Amino acid sequence: MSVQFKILMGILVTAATVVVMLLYGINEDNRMNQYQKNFAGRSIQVGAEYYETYCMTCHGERGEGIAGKGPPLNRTDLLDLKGTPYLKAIGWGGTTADFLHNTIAAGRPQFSKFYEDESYQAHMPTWSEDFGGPLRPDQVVSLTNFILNWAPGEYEPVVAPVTPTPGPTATPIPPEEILKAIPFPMPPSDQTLASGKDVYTKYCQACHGENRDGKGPGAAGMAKPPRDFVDCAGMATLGFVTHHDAVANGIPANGMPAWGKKLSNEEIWQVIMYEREPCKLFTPQ
Amino acid sequence: MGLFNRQVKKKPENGQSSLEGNGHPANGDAQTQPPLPDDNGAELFDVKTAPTLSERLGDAARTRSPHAIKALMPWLDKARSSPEGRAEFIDKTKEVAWVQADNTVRAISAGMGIADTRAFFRGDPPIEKPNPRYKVHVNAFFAHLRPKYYEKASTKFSHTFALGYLSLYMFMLETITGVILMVFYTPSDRRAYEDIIKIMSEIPYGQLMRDLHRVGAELMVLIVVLHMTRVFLTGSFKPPARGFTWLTGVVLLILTFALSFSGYLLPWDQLAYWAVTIGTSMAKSVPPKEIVGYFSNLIMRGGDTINQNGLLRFYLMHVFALPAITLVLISVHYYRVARTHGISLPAADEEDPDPAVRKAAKERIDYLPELFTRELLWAAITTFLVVVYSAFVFHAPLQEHSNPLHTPLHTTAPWYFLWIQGLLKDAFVLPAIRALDQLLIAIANMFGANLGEGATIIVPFYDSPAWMGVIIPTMIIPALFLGVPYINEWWEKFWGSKPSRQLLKNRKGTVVVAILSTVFMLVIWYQGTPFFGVTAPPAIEIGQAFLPEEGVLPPVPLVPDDWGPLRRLGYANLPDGEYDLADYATPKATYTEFERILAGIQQEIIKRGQEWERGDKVRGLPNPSGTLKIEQWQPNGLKRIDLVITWDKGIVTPTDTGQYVRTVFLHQDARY
Repeated sequence: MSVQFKILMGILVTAATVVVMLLYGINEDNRMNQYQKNFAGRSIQVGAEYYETYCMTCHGERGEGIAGKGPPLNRTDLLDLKGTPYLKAIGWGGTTADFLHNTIAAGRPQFSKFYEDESYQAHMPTWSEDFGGPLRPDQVVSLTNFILNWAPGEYEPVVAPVTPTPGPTATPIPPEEILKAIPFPMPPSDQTLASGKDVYTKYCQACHGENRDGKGPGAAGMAKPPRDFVDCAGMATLGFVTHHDAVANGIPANGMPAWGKKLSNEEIWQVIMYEREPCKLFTPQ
Repeated sequence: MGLFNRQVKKKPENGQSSLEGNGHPANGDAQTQPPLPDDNGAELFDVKTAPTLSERLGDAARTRSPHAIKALMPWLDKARSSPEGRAEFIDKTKEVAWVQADNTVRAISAGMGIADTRAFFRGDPPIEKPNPRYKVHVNAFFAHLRPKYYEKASTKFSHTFALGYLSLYMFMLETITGVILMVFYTPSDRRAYEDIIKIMSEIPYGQLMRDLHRVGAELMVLIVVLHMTRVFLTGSFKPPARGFTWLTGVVLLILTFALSFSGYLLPWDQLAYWAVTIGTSMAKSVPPKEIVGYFSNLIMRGGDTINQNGLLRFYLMHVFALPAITLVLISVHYYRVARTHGISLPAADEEDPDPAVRKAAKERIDYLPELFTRELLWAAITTFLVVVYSAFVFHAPLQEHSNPLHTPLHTTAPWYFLWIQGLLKDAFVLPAIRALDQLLIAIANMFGANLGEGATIIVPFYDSPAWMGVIIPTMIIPALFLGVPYINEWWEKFWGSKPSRQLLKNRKGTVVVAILSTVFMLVIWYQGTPFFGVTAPPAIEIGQAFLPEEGVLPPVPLVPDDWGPLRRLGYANLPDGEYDLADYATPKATYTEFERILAGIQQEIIKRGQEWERGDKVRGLPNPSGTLKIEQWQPNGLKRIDLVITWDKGIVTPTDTGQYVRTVFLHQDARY
C-alpha cells in the first residue's frame, strides 16, 4: 500500500467514524429520555419485589391497606400528584416523593393525626439503615418509586377501618390429616426446637415476647393480649390442631396474622413445638 | 518545479550569507543575518534631531517588528528608489517568507522542511541529506520512542497480526474513555450505581463512552492473550535477546487481567458484585488459610465481604496503581522491541537456506512514513469498528443494584477467570481421590478395620479450594515465566538440537504442548460455565431459562446480555391471563410469538418429566405441569408474571412441597 493510499483511507475511515458519532448524537436526547424511563421502570420492578417482602403484610398485597395493621397506600388523596390533599391536610410542604421516602426511611414515631379514628397495633418502623432499619438507601428509593406508580390508583382505597372478612376458606382439613403432616418425629429433638426458636425470633417475638409470655413490645395496646405460652393452665386447652390453625391461618379478629403463606409446613411445626416447649405439651390431643 | 519543491539556495547578499534554508535544525534555527537596519539608517538618525511621527513609526518597525520584517527592511528603501530595487525587494520577500515557512514546518515536524514534509506524504524518498526523517526521532518526544525502521519481513501482517500494536491501542482507548467516565463517577457504595445510571441517562455520549470502555476492556484481554499465543507459536520469545521481553509480557498479561477485573466491580450492580465476590473468593483459600488466606482476603476486599472499603480499593487499583505500573511495563516491553531487538523475523525467512531470501527479509522499512501511516490507518479502522460495535450492537450491561444478601443463581466470575471457576469445581482430582479412598477403605476392611459408610482416610488431607483455586492457577505463572523462554533453551541444549523457530518443521513438541494446553484451558473454561456441574433443582432451572434472575452474563465476551424470552418479548406483547401450559404441548404453526414461548416452556417441562421416568432423579421431575400467570399489577404499566411449576409432592424428598413459583415484575418502560 502506498503512503498516499493509507493516508486517504485513514482520512476516510476517520470521517466515517465522525459521521457515525454524529448520527449517534442526533438520537442522543431521545435515547437519554428513554433510558431515564427505563431505569425508573426497572426501579419500580425492584420496588415491587421489596414491597412483597417488607410491606405487604401490613399494607396489603396491592396497597389497599389492612385494617388495624397499616393504612392504604394507593390512595388518590395521597398520590394525586397535583393536589395531594392529604399532604396539605397534615401540613407537609415537600413533594409526595419526599414524604413517602422520609416515611419509609425514618418510620413514624407516632400515629398520624389523620388516622386518629383508627387504631393500629404498631407504629411504622424505620426501614432505612440510616435510621437503624434493614434497608439500603437504594431499596428505599425503589420502594418509593413503586408506591408512586400507584397514582392515580385503580383499586378502591380502604380508608375506614373495617372488620376484615375472612377470605374463602378451603375445605377444612380433618384434624388427623393435620397431625400427619408433622415432618419430624415426636417429641421434637433439640435441633427442631432450635430451628423453631429461629423462626419464633424472626416472626413471633415482637408480639409474643422474648420469654414467650405474650408481653412483647408489639402487644401493647392490643384489645386481646397475645397468647402466653408460659401459662400452662391456658396452654392445656390449646390443642395441636387449634394451635396449627392459629399459626397458619391467623386469628383476624384478635390481630394474629396468618403465616401459612410465609412459612413452610416444616417451619410452622417447628415454631409450634418451640411455643409448646415451656409446658412440654408434646402429646397430640 | 513548483513552489513546494523549491530549494533554498545559499545566496551571498551584501557580503553576508543571509538566508540559510538548509541549516541543521538540531543545532538551532540558522540565524538569518540580513544587513542590519541600524547600519543603513545611521546617517538619517544623525541628521534629524526631532523625529517626526512617520520616522518614529519607521523606527519602531525597524527595532520591534518580527524577525522576517526586519530582514526585509534594508530592501524597502531600495524598492522606493528604483524599479530594479522593487523587483529585488519582491524576490527578497519571497525568499524570506519561504525561509520563515520552512522553519515553522521544521519546528512543527521536529526536523523536516516543507519539501521533505511533502515528500513524506507523497511517499517520495527524502530530499535532504542526512535523512531528515531520522531527525524526527531525535527531536520529537513521541517519535523518539519509536524505532527508526523495522526489518521488512517482520512487518508482514500474517506474521504479527498487529496484535502488540492493538494491545497498546486498546490501552490508550481505555485510558481516554476511562478518564471521561471518571469525571462522572464516585467510588462510593451509595453513589456508584446512581452515577452509572446518570452516565447512561443524563450524559450525552455517556453510554457510548461506557460501551467503548467495556468493549475495549474485553478486546484488550482477548488481544493480549492472542498476542502471547502468537509470540509463543512463532518462537519469538527465544533467549538471549527476547527472553526478558517475554517476561515483561507475562507481567503485562497479569496486569491486563487485574485491570479488567478491578474495573468489573465499579458499576456496583448485582453482576459486578457477585462476579468479583467469586473472583476474590480464591484469596481465602491461600494456604495457610488461617493467616495468609484470612489476611489476603481482608486486604483485597477491605472486609469479610466486599463493601465500601473494597469498592474504594478496587477503584484506586483500577484508576491509579495498575495503570501506572502497566504504563511503565509497556514502556520497557516496547523499548526492547523497538530499540533492542526489533520484531522477530518470520522463522521461515530467517532460516531460509537461500541468502538472497534472508537478505530480502532484513531489508529496512523506515518507520516514517511507511509504518507510521500504517499504524494511523490501523488506529482509524479499529476506532471505526469499535465505535460502530458499541453504538449499534453491544451495550455494557447494567443490572439491578448490588445486594450482598442475595446471590443470583448461576452467577459466574468474568469470562477470562471462568477457567479458575472450572478448576474449583474440581471434576478430575477430587473424584480420583475419593475413588482411591474407597479402595483404601475396602483394603482396610479386608484386614478387619471395619470402616463404615462415610469413613474417609485421605480425603480430609486434600484441600480442594487451595489446590484448585490458588496453587494450580498460580503455578501457571512461573511456568509461563521461566518455562517458556528458559526451559525451552535448556531443553534444546540438552538434546543438542539446533535452535530453530520453525513451528511445524523443528518444534513438534511445541505444537503438542500448544494443542494440549489449549484443549485443557477450553475444557476447564467450559467447566466454569453454569452448563457444567449444575446443582440447582430442575424447577428453578426452568424458571432461570425463561425468566432469569439478574446478575448473570453470557460466559463469552462481547455478546449482548440475555434476559430470557419473556422479558425480551416485552410488556406490550404479554397478554394478561392464566395459561395452563399443558394446552400448548403440541406447537402449531399459527402460534403467536407469545404462544411459541409458552410451548417452549411446556417442552422443557415435558423433557423434565421424561428424564424422571428414565430414572434421572437430579434433572427430572415426577409428573410436572406448569402454569404461567400474567397479571396487571399496577394500573400504570406494571405486570406481574408468575411461572408456577408443580409436580408430585413428597417424592423427590419427603418434605418436598411439589411447587415452585418464579415471580418477575415487568414495567412497560423497562427495556431489555
